[in-house]
Amino acid sequence: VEFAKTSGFDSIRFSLSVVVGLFVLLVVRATAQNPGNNAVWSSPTMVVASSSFVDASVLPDTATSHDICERINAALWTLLQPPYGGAGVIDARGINTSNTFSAGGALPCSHSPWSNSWTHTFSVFPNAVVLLPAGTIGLQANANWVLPDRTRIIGVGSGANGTSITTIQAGSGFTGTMIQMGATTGLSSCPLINGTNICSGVAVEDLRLDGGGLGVIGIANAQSQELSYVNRVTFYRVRGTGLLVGGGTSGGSGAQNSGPYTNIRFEYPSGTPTSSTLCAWISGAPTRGIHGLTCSNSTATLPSVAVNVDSNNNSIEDIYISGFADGIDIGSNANAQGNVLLNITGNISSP
Amino acid sequence: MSVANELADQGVYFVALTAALAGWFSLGLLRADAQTCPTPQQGNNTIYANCSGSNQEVGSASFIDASLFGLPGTGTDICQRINAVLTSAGPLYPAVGAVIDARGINTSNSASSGGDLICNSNPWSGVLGPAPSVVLLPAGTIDLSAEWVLPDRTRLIGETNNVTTGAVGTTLKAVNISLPAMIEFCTAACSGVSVQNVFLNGNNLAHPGIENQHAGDLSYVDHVNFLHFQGSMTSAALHVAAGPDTQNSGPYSNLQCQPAGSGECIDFEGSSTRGVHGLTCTSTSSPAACVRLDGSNNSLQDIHIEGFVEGVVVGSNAATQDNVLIDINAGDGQGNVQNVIHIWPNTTDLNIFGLAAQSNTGDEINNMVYDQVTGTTIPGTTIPQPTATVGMYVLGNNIGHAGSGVPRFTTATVNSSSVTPTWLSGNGMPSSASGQCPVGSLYSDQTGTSGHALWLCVGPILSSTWVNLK
Repeated sequence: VEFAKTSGFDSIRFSLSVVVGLFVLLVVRATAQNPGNNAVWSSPTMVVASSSFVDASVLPDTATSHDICERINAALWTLLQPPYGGAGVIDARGINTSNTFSAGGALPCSHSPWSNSWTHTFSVFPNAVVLLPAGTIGLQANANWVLPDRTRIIGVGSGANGTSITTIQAGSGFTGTMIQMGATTGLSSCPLINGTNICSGVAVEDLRLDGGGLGVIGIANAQSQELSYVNRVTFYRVRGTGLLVGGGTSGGSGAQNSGPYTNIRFEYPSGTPTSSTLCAWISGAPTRGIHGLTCSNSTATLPSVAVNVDSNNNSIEDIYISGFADGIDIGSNANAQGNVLLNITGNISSP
Repeated sequence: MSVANELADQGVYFVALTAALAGWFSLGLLRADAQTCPTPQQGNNTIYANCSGSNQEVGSASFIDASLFGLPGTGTDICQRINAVLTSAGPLYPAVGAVIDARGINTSNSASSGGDLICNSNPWSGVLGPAPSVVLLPAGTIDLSAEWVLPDRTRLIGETNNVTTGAVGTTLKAVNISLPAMIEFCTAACSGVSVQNVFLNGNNLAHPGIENQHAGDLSYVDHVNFLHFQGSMTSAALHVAAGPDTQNSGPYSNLQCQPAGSGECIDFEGSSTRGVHGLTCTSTSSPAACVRLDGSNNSLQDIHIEGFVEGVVVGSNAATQDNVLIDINAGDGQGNVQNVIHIWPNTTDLNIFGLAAQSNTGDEINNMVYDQVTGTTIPGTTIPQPTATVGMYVLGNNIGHAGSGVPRFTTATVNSSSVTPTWLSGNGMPSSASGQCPVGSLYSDQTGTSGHALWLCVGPILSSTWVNLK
């Protein structure tokens, strides 16, 4: 009765709130969403969630205290939840210094995304394609990225210094390998196949690794085999080894049939490399080889060798070398049979 | 006035107000559309844009999300959804093409069986006119009951492929044994057709996983697995047909093949293509061949073979010429290999660089090269020598005169019994030991000692010796 006796204005207010509420509900958001879902239009008036990829820029939440690796780590966790089923695409391209912890214009990474250093405890990692943003990601000490089985990381480009590319930079105190493709121990250890840890489908594409003049390894692959590769990657100021395939002097068959390692650039424009600074080193078992490599050292220090080939049956082609005593050393550390070298150019000046 | 009348009056007010508000909102939307806000289309991505002075959510045509097409619910399969995008009357599929994002399709929103997405029809069925597209496929397994016939300028990209089948990456699985192929490149001459980052599970299909009879320039296959295909020759897991249409296609790169039974991996009949770059063939059932090369002007590079009777078979079904084989290696981890390279008689101008074999047990890779053109056999691994390599083996063209021979040169490790003449060089005179040189070979003393510059190895084989020529 009280309701029936309300004034006409009250009725109007009630009706208005109902209609507007319904309209907002129907037009703007019609279905439940999860953080990181993309939003797409199902009709001209309705937006719904799509699980086509996970946007890492809002994970685990929008607080700007999270660093980029924590965000990627949270997105990896999301891929383990329904409906993703343990695989998918993580879009981290929306992460920037405005929405994520930053320092000096860079995005620091305090721990590897593939670690249990954050909120979640992983027993296995999903098979992820991770799209990295433009800008500089600074690896702090112990933030070595060890990519697990079937993981691909893809930047927005690997161009020259100063352009809008994806740079992963070794920060002060960083040691060891910046990006390791698979492992024999730890959370990212490769699946055991006939008693051997073997990964597959691990890849790094379209980014630049800035060694910061430290004696680090840019990318090392000693466990990833079939369908594992590196493409369009620049190694910048890597004082150790840019690309290490196989176990180095210890050899091993862990990287058999990996590659090809394509369209790679190694730059040492200034500073002081060492005599043992290397562009690339292939050892151990046969691979798909290196196809397209520029090794450029513009400093006054002449490293001994640009490329070491210490394994059998590799094709090495389209190579340009400048500023090294030896371009390609074949068999200096181990037997090297049945290799094919095509289109190798040496120059005394940088390209 | 009774309560009933009052309620009735208020009902009138409500209806009137609702109609007014609906009209106002519609008008507002239309007005906004008429100004600067693009009208969102089904499947558009949502982005913010400044429309009519404020930031609003609008549609972006950067891609079309296929998960929103077709009927809602799990009664519609993934192929029907993709097809619904391509055949939609509203919004009309762009004639210039679009990116179709099907990655959001999963077993929660589309038809599935046993955890797999199902596909009962060709996604491009009934597509009239040009419909170029880049189709992004979801992670998970898609069960194919129908062949996918990719039209002109269609690119199919999975999330990733992998070495073993399972619910990771993108797997396409044949569940209909009568499929003529899982994926066919066009039905007439076309270009720009490709398949990337998918795992093809043939499920014992006796026909190709991918067949290209018509796609030329800018058409390729990259990072694709072929598992459990059991067809051979033109029904091999990957078939690239002869003819002008497939010219300039490729490269067919970064492939892995594990056939079932007697299945073969690649039947390559195309000519003047970009070739095969990066292939691993493994089998435990000894199929006849990993690759059959029956086309001309192709490059085959970075190939690993285990468990096939023959690795690369050249010219077994057609005359071939001007092919280049680089970095071909065999192992016996999955099984023996009889001939790493088998050259049939109608082969000319074949160039082989970097041939190798590694046997765990010592003698399981019988021959590196079995050449029926010149009658040459270069032996493989042996018990004391589990590794065998050939730096170069080059076969020329028959110069046309009976008994005139065929140009052929090899740097293969040679001995007197292999009878593969070559040209050696060294500092000083050659060894005088009997039975050590390949009969017919030349030896150059590069010290330039007068009278000892050039030598010839003469038979008989078991007691061959070097004779000074000049």
